[in-house]
Amino acid sequence: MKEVRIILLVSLIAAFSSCIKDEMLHSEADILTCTVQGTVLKRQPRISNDKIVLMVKSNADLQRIAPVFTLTRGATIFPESGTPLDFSSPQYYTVTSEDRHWKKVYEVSCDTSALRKKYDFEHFELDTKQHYYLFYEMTENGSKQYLWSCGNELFDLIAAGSDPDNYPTTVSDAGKSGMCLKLQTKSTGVFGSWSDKPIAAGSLFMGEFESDSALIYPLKATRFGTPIDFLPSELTGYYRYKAGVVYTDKKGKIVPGAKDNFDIYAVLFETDAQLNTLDGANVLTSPSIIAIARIGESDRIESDEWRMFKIPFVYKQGKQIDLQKLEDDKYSLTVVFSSSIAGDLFRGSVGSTLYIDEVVLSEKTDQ
Amino acid sequence: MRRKLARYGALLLFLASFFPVRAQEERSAEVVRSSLIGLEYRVKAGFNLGGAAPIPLPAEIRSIESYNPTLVFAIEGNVTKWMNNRWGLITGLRFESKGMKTDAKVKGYQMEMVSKQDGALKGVWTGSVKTHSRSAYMTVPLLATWKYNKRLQLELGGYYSLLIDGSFSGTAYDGYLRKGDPTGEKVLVSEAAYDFSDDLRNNHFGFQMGAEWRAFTHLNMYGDFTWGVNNIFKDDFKSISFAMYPIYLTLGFAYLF
Repeated sequence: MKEVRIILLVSLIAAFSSCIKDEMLHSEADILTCTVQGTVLKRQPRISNDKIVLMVKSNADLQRIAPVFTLTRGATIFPESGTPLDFSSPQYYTVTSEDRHWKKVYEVSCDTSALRKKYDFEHFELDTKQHYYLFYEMTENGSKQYLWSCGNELFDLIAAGSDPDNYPTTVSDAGKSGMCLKLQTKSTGVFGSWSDKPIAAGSLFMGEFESDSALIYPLKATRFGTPIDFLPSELTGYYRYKAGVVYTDKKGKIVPGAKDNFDIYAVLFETDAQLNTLDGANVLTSPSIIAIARIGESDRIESDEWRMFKIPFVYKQGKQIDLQKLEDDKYSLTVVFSSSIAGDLFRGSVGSTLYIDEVVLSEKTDQ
Repeated sequence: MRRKLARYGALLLFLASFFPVRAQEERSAEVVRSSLIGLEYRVKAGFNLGGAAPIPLPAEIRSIESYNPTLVFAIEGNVTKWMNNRWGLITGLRFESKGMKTDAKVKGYQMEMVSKQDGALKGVWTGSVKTHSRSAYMTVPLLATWKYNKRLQLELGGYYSLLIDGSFSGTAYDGYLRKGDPTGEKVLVSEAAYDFSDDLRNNHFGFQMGAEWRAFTHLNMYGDFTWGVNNIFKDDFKSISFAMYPIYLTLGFAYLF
């Protein structure tokens, strides 16, 4: 009888394991990398799920740019990789998966505009899924420049469903003038607390949000920096702030007596072949930093009225400013606003709210 | 695992040894009278080995890393009506639990990681999935039985099961989710939980075949193979893209009055 039982058991297991089928053809249709020959790019291309932005030098010939792509294994692209196209306006590529079942359209655009100096937060739109707000600036030639990024995309993944005004980074019509930026620290609900991310601070920064790895390496998801062609001297603007009541740590536990605070800072840094952007782990500590402007402890005041902030850029001692590198677009700047100063570590108070408007970057006159 | 089975075997032997003593005393005139009109009574107890599996295994499942049948069992009381020397009909009532723990690698697996209060993370998962399911059923079998010889008896028929209580949950780990469909945003996930307990089907039908070996006058050994024809989930459940069917082997002892 024992033998019979063993035979039955073995055959049962065999029945389950022997019918693993052949692997399916890939169903994903991603552009994995994008390169452009020569030296027309200021930075590595920004690739998101369905959009690629090429930051191109102002003197480049946009009419014949031939981006080269690598794709998910087995996928195909049309127009073909390496085809010269006219990028005076955005071009659209269709990627088809190996199993021919899925298609994804990428918008590929070139951005030649220089960094603006005034930010009024009057320009915003909903993302393609109509879930949350995206901010952009208008360039001189009337095209949209997606200079700003935020964590709304991550929040959408873990706590989606509510309307755009319930996301951490939103707009308000109670601006200093017109509309303004509204950042509010939100609870991420049960799913967020499972993954030790109980809150999501409202934040806006110059750079790119890499949502792929955001759940695992949140500090690496914020890619700070955009090319700058002048040396900044001062960051000014207006804010209103109200801290939330209950301060919690990463595990969602209440920290008695702790009070939330906001943060505003700007970082000027040098890029090279290795360093394209800064991230959450080194944005204030990288050796590539040339200057930092950060709001002082005593200037962070809770107020229902608009208050002005005026933050000087403090240039690092002993850091040489290389005007040739500035000319060659090697310098990057990021400006960061956050409704919870330790929001990157998932500590803060739900409800902390920071409003920002009329931000101005001043150029240094004495080189 | 081995220790668990040993412990369970000991429990069965204990139960089995308990029956003859009592039953011999109580082999009443009632039982004798029943046997005269072709009725026979049994109690059966065994453990269940199997799982809820998609048949055939879909291509989404790349490998099964581990499988544990868990400690689940069936206890049944039934009655046989013999039509003649060889053929009879069996029906009864069975209380049983079915369960499994699996760890599988999947690719392009449609799923939803849920949190009850807030939103859900829904899409196509590539990575590892741990599943733990455990359900309790009340089952009524209806079988034709055929006596091969004095010792061996075979059975074939069907059953109806009512879900009394069930859970189906687990974690998805070390992989990535494409939100919505394979072209959606990609999110790397180290670990996320899911729970589909509320979506389990209540009414089940299935096929059953079995064999019983008459080891002693009253004590039999048996094996029953059951194959559910209904998906273990409700019809409107879409979070897993394929249907899963309960397939179990019950091995144990039967006591014949």
